[in-house]
Amino acid sequence: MLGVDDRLITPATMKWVKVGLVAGLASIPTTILLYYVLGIAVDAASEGSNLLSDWFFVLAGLVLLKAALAWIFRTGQFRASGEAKINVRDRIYQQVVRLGPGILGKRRTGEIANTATEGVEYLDYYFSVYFVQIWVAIAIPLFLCAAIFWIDWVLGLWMLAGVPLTPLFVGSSARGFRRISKRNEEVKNRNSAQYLDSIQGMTTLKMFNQAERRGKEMEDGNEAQRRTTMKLLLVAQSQFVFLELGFALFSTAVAMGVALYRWSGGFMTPGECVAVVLLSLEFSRTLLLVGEFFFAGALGREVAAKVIEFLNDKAPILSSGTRKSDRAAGKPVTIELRNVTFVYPGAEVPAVRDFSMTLVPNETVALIGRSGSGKTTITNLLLRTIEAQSGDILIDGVSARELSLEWLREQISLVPQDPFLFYGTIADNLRMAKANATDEELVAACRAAELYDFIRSTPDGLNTKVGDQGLALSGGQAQRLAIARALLKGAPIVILDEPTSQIDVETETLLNRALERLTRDKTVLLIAHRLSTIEQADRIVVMEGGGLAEAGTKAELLASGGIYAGMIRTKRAMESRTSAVAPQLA
Amino acid sequence: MRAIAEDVGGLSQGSNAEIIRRLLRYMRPFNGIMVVSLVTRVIKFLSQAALLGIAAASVGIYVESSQPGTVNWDVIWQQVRWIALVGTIVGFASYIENYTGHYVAFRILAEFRDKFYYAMLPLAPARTAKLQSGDAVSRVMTDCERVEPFYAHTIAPAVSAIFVPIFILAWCWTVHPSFVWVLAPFYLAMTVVLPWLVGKLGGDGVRYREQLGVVNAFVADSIQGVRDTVAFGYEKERARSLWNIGATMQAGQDKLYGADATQKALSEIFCTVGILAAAWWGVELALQGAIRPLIDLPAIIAVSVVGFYTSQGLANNYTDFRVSLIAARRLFGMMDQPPAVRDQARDREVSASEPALSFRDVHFEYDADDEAWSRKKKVFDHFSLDIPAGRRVALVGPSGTGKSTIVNLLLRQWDPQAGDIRIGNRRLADFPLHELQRQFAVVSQRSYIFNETVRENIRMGQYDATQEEIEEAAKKAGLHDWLVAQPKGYDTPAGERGTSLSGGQRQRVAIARAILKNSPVVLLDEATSSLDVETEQGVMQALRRLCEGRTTLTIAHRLSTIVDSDEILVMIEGRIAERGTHEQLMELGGWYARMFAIQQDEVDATLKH
Repeated sequence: MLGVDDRLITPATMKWVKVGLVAGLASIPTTILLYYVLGIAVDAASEGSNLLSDWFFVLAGLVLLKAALAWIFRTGQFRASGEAKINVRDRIYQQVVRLGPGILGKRRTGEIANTATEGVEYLDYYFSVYFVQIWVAIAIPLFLCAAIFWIDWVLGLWMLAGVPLTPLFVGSSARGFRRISKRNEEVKNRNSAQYLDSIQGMTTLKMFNQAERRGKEMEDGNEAQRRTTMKLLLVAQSQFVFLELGFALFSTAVAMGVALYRWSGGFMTPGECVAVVLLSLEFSRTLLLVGEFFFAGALGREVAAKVIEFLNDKAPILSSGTRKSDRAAGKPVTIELRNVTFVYPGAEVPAVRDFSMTLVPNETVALIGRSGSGKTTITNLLLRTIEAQSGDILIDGVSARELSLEWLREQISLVPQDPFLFYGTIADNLRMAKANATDEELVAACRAAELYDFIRSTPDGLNTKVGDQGLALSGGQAQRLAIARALLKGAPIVILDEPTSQIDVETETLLNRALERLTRDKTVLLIAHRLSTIEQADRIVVMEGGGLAEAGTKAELLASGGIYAGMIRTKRAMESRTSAVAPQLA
Repeated sequence: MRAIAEDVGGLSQGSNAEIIRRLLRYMRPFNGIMVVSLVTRVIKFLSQAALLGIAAASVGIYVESSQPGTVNWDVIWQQVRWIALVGTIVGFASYIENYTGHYVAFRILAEFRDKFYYAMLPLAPARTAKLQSGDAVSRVMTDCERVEPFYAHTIAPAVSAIFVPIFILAWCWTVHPSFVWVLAPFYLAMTVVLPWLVGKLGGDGVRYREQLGVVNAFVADSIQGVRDTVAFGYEKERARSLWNIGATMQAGQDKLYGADATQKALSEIFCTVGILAAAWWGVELALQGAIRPLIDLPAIIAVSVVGFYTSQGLANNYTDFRVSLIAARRLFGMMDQPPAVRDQARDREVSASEPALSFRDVHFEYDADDEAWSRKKKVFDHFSLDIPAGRRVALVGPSGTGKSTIVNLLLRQWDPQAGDIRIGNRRLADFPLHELQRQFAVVSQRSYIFNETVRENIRMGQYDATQEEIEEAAKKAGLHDWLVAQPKGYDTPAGERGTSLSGGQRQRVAIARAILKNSPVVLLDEATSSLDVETEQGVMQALRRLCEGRTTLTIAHRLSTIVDSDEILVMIEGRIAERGTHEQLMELGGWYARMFAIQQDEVDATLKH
């Protein structure tokens, strides 16, 4: 009925939209009745009686009914948009989860977060204005004509001729509005972009003593653009005026003229003529509603379109098996990637190409390669936030496709290089790994992650607030919190993206101890950034351009003289070069 | 992503009346045009009332001058002409009102943004650190736009809701004075009692905005943390919380909008009862023979109907009005923060000083005045440091120990709570701020590149530079050859935040800019940290040219880039822990030696093909 994507509407929203619509439509006859009563009261007055006194209770009822309908109309509108906003936020979040981090990437999550917050607020207009008011606006002239037709059919036919004016107005003002708004939008975007640039780069502007100049430049730009916008408005609004003029003239003048003509014929009473004149005012109410519709609704439509577009994004199809491995919980696991190929949607080059690798229980495999070689994609494939186009991933010999997604993810602890910490307390962030963990368990995990000394030093302990994305914690502390989280989860597989060296030496010792506790008796995939860590791994896998470049134990790779051997050579060369710097400078 | 505006500046305190007065001050230059807009608006409504009044009165005029059975075309045409005349006035008044109204609104919006920009200037970056993100800025801009309804849709309806009824009452007085006593209470209820009542019922909406901030932060957090959420199977839990928190907010929203619905209902009652009262009294007067039943009575009814429509217009905009006040409060809250640094220099011009830097007993913490424990960050306690003129000094150490703070303090983006920082023998505070900025050329990890052409970006260094000077700087930065090979040459656009350029090119633009600035001191804050090892080598060349013959302070993360510095300082927890040349520090076997070994161990550094 509303011609809108079903996903934006829940039954509850629909219910309130209908409530609003019914109240909005029902209020039209009450207004018509009011004006009709006023008209026949004029007739009664000229015959010597006060109809309004006689009809006191009827009129009191009418007043209350009008008030009630106005209240219901508005309540329906905001309830509908309230319900809808909750639903849309939920839809967006579900879609984010469905698409998963592998597809979304960091930049897009920022954009989507913006749509889901600020953007969704504009849906108010969409649900309250777009949905309801447009129907009411269309219905008003029809109701009015019907009423006038009932009073006098000839006049009714005349007024009917004015009905097409509404769509005419809608069409032409829509075109006019679109033109202005498009132009306006361009102007606004250009201005906004420059303004954004200036505020973001303000420190730089100050550093180069350019801030004042830039400000002047922006003022000039604003002024120039405002001039063009106003010129456009000058032209586009003249349309408005003629329509408004035409509308008022047509409806009122025709209503009056024809009514008087019909009175002469003895078909109408003077009071009915007055009623019709009053009713002609209601025709222009359509204009008000439609105007609101275009100005406010446009914003909401834009957001709705954006949301729909995002919801239409194809999520990776994850075949949802229900199997769980029959292996006893917590026991080490074998993972096999068999000829896996994955291409990101829209990309031409596969991120992972025909890649095979096996991790046996308790084995630590170091995965290395330059950035963009496909290491992160492997992580996403293992977590099954993306699905390989060909090849298979086997857990204890069972295809991951047959396993339940939930179960699979329960088997893996992820320790990313840049852990995301939610706004909330340390305890909140830990409990995401195990919702029902006791405080004792949390403390134990923190102790094992070498985080407990820090926690004890804070006034609120486990209830210390972690700032915006973990801002209040140092990099090392955030890392160890992520390790504590993984320890709490206690999954048999650990995917560890090794932290880089931007930490102090002491922290590094703590971190290493924590990591050692985490990876003990686990199957570990280590995305390594240091040669010394790589050396501790049981086996090394080198990736290049999404494919497997070489794999084997350290000794095997050294002997083969490939990439890894080259790295070791480079390191030795660097060491000898830096030790040679000393005599040169001295 | 949290309710950023609140974080940055908090809400401006003070009564709504103060906020309104302040907003009105911005309108002052446009008062004249605003008056035109208001007058035409009042004219528009009055002529609308007149139009309907004439049409209604025409019934009586016609009936009295005609006989049933014969059509009196003369009277009909005469009345239609009247309606056409008044209708034309309505049209033109409406046009002028719309045009001038938009004019003022657009002007003020631009003005307001400009003022906001200038107000933020002294606050950057100490008070605007969080505005560095695009999200936060776009939020601020949304707030700017939310202020617009105050000018465009509040003032005019408010003024016309007062004046239109006055004129209408005046006209009614001429018909029969008693109408004033019948109608006035209802107009008063619509324009005074109703807004007051709604304000009482709905509160000021601040609480709702706060809740909205909480929800938005939660949503943003959930979306941005999706990787960790999915990895821990936490998504169902999170979705449930998201739903609950949204429902909680809706309860708050219900109050605000509930008041709005109540207002709609009450205004319907006041209007309808007002119209009926006028009609009832009109009928009574007609029955007494005090007014003409078919001319005055219909006119009174028609005019009061239009009059109440006008008053309803005001009530309908009341919610927008409240939202605009909240947005204004937030913006003023930001604008009113005390700047972290004040220009206190007495002399506007200062003679050149020797480019040596010194810190003496400096004590500094960020957000010292913040009461939240977790946000206070103590950086320096009795910190001292000397960098002789012309020396190339490197500053290394673990992240978060105050290296960048040294740069921030030198540039006077913050002032220390105690201690003394000097260039040569002049205290930083004795430099006028614009002079101080001239002393330093800075290249940082993510140098801000503007969404302009490359030429414009380089020109930032010295705005009146000639093309030759710009090219000279670009050559030294190793950018010239690449630029001339581009189809647009020096006019190649840099893109938003420089995203059309590669990381290496961005840094080269920043270097060219710094070369053109020709400052005695160069500060390199992780200038190559975001580049890969190979690109880094090329950019290092350009940096060397920039530093030639200048006092240089380099903050670096990759130690291999600073081995040939004159002196290396290792900074740990706000103090200099090690100091010496590369060899001396390697021999010392402390943090530096350890870190150097670790970095040679890094995969990135050794992965070469």
